[in-house]
Amino acid sequence: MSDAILSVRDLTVSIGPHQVCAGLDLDLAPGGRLAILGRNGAGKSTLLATLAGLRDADAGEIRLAGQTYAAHGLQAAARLRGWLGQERGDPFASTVLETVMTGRHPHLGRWSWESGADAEIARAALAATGLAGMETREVQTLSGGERQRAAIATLLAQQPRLYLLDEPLAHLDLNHQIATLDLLARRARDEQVALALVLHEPNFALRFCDQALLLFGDGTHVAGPAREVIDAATLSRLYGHPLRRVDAPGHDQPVFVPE
Amino acid sequence: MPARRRALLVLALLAVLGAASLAVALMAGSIALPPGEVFAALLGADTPARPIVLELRLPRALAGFACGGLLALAGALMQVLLRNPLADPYVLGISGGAGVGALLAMLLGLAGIGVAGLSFVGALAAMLLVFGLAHGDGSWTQTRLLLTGVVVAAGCGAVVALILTVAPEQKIHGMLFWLMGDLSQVAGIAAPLAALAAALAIALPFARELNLLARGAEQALALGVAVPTLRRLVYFVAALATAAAVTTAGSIGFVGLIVPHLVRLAIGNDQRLLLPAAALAGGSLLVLADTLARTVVAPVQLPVGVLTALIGVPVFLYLLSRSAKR
Repeated sequence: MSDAILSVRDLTVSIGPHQVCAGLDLDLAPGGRLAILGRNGAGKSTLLATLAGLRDADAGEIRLAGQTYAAHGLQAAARLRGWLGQERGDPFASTVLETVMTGRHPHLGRWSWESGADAEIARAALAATGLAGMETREVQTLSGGERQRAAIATLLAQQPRLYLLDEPLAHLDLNHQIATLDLLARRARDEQVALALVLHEPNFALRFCDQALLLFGDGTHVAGPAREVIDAATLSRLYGHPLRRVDAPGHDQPVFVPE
Repeated sequence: MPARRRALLVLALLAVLGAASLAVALMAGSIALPPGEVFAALLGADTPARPIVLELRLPRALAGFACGGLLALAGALMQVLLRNPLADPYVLGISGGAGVGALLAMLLGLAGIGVAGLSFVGALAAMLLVFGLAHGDGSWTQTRLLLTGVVVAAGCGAVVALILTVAPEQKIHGMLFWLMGDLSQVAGIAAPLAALAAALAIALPFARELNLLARGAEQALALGVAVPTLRRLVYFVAALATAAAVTTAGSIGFVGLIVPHLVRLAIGNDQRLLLPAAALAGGSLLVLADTLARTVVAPVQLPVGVLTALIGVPVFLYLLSRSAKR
């Protein structure tokens, strides 16, 4: 697929002796939504960081909007893809607005300061994540969930075309989990951005994503349309715990519950 | 844009503070001079005050300003590099290496440029040793860098203690003054002033990238910052700034740790403003402290490092309690 935002060919990733995936092929088109599922330690974060160009793959090719990361350069790549890591830590005090404004960095020249337009983009991102009115709060005083949403707002302010999110729902309550996934799905539909999300809830993967990548932790993987690859047997093997499929009347989407 | 205008305003105010501190340093001393005489001497009039102003006070004040600025700038950079608010220019052993060099020179009977030269060699040796060891396997974590620096600093401290033990009595006084920081033996002012200008000129273009680095290396990399290159640059700029300062005036404590925090508490943590503001504030603080050091119990001169702490601690505690209430 030549118009894919992210295309991966024959990718092999490992952490020391532990293989995360081998021979992985993947295409993520504008508006595409990929869920990455797997057990703790299966290498989901490592794979996502590799897809983001933050660490080198062992073999294979990753193209972002048709070019490799090396060909893009760091700043041009940062205008195209955003990455949400798991780590939240600010050793120095900073306001919420300043934090979110850091997402504008790749769009600014070396000597330019954030303009009023940049501030507007940051404020809109805060409003989208339900943090309107918190602009002047110290980021160190936020709760874990608010901090997570501020990090997502930073990513929105970056305005990339590819969002790579490592556990975007961490620390969020149920209400904000759904709101965040709704927000991201809306961006994918309305602005044709592509999403890749590391998730721990297969039902969310089914509800919000059209593709799924299951990492089994032994170097094998299954990738394909979410509705085809997510079934009770595969999930039971994936998590090492039996899951049962439940079809609720009136819902076209099945639900998987642990036994 | 308001943020930029505010930054320029803050820097203009601090520049006025710096000029005022220099003016005080030129007027105050064992012979107090009125502003008119200082001006006349600066403008070239051949008055009796001329040698006092131009040959004694001006070089010392300018050297003090440069050293204070260098230390505060190096401290701010180290705090970002190590992502640790407790970091200061000396945490990575650069002043320790300089101390070993300077004390060895004094032990050998050298003075002035000899002490400065050997202390610079010591600082460079410590800088390269820490960099080489911390960089060993290519991964360059803050913890590894910090631990390497702390251990090298401790080793240098032991060597300094050893030299102090075996040194003849009449040399101990000069050695202690060097270790506490002393501006009375300044060998040249061109080098520290040039070092301050160069360090600012190299660091400022990367100030916004430093903002991102302070928030985390991976996040900075994802936003387009060339993290490994930037870290190396910051390390060497901070290390060379520290080396230039301690070579000029000994290991003056406190300025490099507290001034960046002082400035941060007052104006926030944007490195684009913080770095130049810390340099101006550090320079002003050191000039004022040195002026006090040579006047409060004149004709006896106190080590300036004692005064920087005595001025800085109450100011810092006041700002800290004020920001806690906010």
